[in-house]
Amino acid sequence: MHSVASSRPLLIVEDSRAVGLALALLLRLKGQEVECASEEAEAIALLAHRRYAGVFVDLRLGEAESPNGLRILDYLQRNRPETRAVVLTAFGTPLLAREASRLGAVAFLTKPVEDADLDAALDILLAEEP
Amino acid sequence: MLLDLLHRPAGLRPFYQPIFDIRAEHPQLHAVECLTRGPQGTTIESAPILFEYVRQLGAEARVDRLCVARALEAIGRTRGVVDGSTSVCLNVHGVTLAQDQDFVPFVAELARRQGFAPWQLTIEILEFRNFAGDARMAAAIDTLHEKGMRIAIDDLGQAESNLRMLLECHADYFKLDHYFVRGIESDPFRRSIVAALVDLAPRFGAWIVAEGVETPDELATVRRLGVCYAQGYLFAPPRSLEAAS
Repeated sequence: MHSVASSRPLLIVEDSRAVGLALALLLRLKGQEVECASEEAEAIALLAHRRYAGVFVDLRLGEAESPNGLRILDYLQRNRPETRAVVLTAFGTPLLAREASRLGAVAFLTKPVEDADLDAALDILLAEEP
Repeated sequence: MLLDLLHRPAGLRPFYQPIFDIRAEHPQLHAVECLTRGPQGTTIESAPILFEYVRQLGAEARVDRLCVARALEAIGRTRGVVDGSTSVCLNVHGVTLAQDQDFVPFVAELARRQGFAPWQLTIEILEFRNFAGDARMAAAIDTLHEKGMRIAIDDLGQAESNLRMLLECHADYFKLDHYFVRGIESDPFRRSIVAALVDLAPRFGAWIVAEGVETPDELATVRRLGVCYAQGYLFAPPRSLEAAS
């Protein structure tokens, strides 16, 4: 089990309330403070004014046809390059994974998220810079 | 969507901060600035995050209307906070004034219904920069003056509020950002900037308001430099109407 929690909160950007709450609960059980956003605009407003230890980003928020979560990765890369992001998706494709990676995502989690995968993602998110 | 929450009765919560006339030894209430917080317990509760969210959605005009209506309705219902000689300052985005042509008449009518004279209303223009030189903005400013309302440049000296605004807004108040007030008693350069603005303001027919006054030394210094009005935690933090009254 991942045992190192950051003093800064993590941000979960996930439009499904059930998925967001479940992930938040798992992370809180690991001692990690968490905030949740369910919309792109809400996530960017939070990222503009607060600093997070890392961000979990669902790639498709709301009814969007396009993977609008990529815009959050783009925002992070431009404005918060020190904040790492993990992508959450139910419909991952290699092309999407490559685009997310190009925009700085450090890991790609497929929903439903397994606990071991979440631990591995947390390790990457919260790892010290080499 | 979170935006829909704002329409609920407790969605947008008005707060008020007094502005004092500091020319006399004992400051006199001059105006109240209406501020807004988002729904309690949500991620958009704090004002900066709320308005960043609103800007991201491009919903400034819709939310400005809601904020103004909530603030004026609440303050109009409560006698004793604002009397006939106190003015009310309302924050409005530049994009709202430029793009919502009915906004100024909307505010004027709302104010009339709540028993405010037009001169009691001051519109503090936020984020003017994108509309510098814009004919629609110029028309909105003319309409505000025609209706008898006053205009304030908010956070003067910070990125969005520049000298060009002085020429284009024909403002009645220059609100000096707290950055220039902080520690002013021990910083000759800050004092020079404030002294220059105090000299400049009457040439534009405007008064200076010092924002973010937090200590007696800051108050004494801005007063000595000739600033007429001040607001900040030294006097009172923003409060809900219940707490303010």
